[in-house]
Amino acid sequence: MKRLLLVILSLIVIIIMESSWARDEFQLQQLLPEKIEARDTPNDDGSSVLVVWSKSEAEEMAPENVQYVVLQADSPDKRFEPVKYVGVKENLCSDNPKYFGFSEKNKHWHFAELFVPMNKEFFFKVGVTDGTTTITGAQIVSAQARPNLIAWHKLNNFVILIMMFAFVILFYNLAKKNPNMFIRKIAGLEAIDEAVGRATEMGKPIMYLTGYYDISEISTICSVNILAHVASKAAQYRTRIIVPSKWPVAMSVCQEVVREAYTNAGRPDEYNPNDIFFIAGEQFSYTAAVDGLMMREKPAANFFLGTFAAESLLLAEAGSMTGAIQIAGTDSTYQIPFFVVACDYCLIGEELYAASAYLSREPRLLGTLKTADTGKIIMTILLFIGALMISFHEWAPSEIFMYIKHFFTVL
Amino acid sequence: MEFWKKRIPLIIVFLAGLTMILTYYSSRKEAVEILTSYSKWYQIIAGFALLLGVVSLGQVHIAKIRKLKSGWAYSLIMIIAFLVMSISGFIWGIEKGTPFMWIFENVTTPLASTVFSILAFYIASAAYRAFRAKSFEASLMLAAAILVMVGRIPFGEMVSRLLPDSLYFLRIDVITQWLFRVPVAAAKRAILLGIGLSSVTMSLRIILGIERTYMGGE
Repeated sequence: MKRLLLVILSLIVIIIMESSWARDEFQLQQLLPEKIEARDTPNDDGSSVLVVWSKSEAEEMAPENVQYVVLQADSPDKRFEPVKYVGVKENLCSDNPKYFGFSEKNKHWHFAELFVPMNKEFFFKVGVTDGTTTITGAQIVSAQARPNLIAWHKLNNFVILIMMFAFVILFYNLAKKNPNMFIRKIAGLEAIDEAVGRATEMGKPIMYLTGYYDISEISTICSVNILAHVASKAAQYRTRIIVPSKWPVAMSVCQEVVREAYTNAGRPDEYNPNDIFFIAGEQFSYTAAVDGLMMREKPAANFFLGTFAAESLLLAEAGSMTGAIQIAGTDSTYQIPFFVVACDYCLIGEELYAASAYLSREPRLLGTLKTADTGKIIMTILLFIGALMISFHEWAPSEIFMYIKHFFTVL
Repeated sequence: MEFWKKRIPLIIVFLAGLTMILTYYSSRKEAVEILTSYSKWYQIIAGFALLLGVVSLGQVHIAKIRKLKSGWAYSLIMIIAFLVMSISGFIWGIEKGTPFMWIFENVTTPLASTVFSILAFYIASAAYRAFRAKSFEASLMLAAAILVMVGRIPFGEMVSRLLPDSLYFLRIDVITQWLFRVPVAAAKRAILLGIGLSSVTMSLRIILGIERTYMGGE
């Protein structure tokens, strides 16, 4: 009787274990993707391929230890080795619009990016594992990694660039026909002549700084453009101009620009290359040296034009203490308040970029300023549309809204 | 002369600018290699220019010492410091534990920190000038500044807690946050939008050769 009971009990235990094992097996099988695809990674340098597979409805019930596994082989006949594990709730195609775009369907697909040698075909399978058991589907897919010439995910950026390019050409040609385009008055730039005149009357020098960055920065190039105008005035009025530089390349460019200004003014002999000199590449060594120069030379006018960092107030306050008239201009938003409080005039952001056109009064250059203005008008309209769509998105056609939203997404 | 001084640089600028634009829109490794080689060229040019900078530095300070101009002693200190740093760097290298690094860590860095710390006093004096309520705008700025300053210190938070939950929106820290998130962020974005568009326009002007002031002359 005892033996019989033991046999029955063992049978029950075996049946329970079997049914549990079968349930696990069933769950893993449920997770096996119905569709698998492999493709070259778009917009890349040819270093990877993508394996994508459809999401299973059983994912919601899957225990934490269950993962998808991507297996790879050189040929379909060879043994497939696991190369990537992906959690059941991870790597949805919708998480990576750079590769898959913004389609709603992407929410139903998983992906794995696999780095493989270029121009060689590889074969892939997708399976499911719980750490001890791995089951794989029968479907085998293949793909080759190829380099892509065009980065299509930057298409939106390219469209805006072409638009700006077209506007530059358009306004350049319009300015040729109508040289009297209206440009609003910029007080800081109007004051340049006043500052140079003041220095001339006082018989003191002018100090000009081109900012924290080297000539490779667009703001430094803008600053050098303004320097050309200031140096030309200084040469006309025979006023000394001092340009302490933080970068040797910027120093060389400034020397060339100032020399040209003196030559154009008919006084090449009065140009002193030692007044445009390199000080130090280190931020606060440069600041301390310029502050010392201000205290010793007592310039009547200081120009701080370019991108500045923590040294902005240290320079502007030292200049303010010497009683100099100060004109600043920067595109670093954090430094604008410092210049506003410590300087007499301050060019805010884009005014620095507009300066060379404004000062030269060259109609074609002034015309191109309209490009940025047109861009701003377009941006304002789009911002307004965006605000309306966000406010009333329930009534707005969502596809159009999504299209506009995605167009301005940087990938 | 015009050809060498204007035309050739303009052609170089156009080709370089165009290459940079095209490589940005390409994913190929070659595009990245072109960008890297441009950056290497720039480093080589900057290396030569550094030599020019050092010559310029020497010329200015040696002339000052020779003529015993006012402040010549500072120039002498500069020349001595320059020589000491250069020689110690050349002889013992610049790694940790070398005389160069010792001077850098114990002289240069504390001096730089000292200059930076002066900023605290300069901010105080600049703030004093800026916050004098001379006009409506200045008064507005003063009020905003007081709110932000009080909202950022524990006292502000302590006082704010005295307000009932129904007046949550009047809490100083809430007002401070609102100031940062709404008016400040709006103004900053407007400035950044202008800067972004202007810098694209400026770049196109330079690439197309419409803007040539940086090459000297107007």
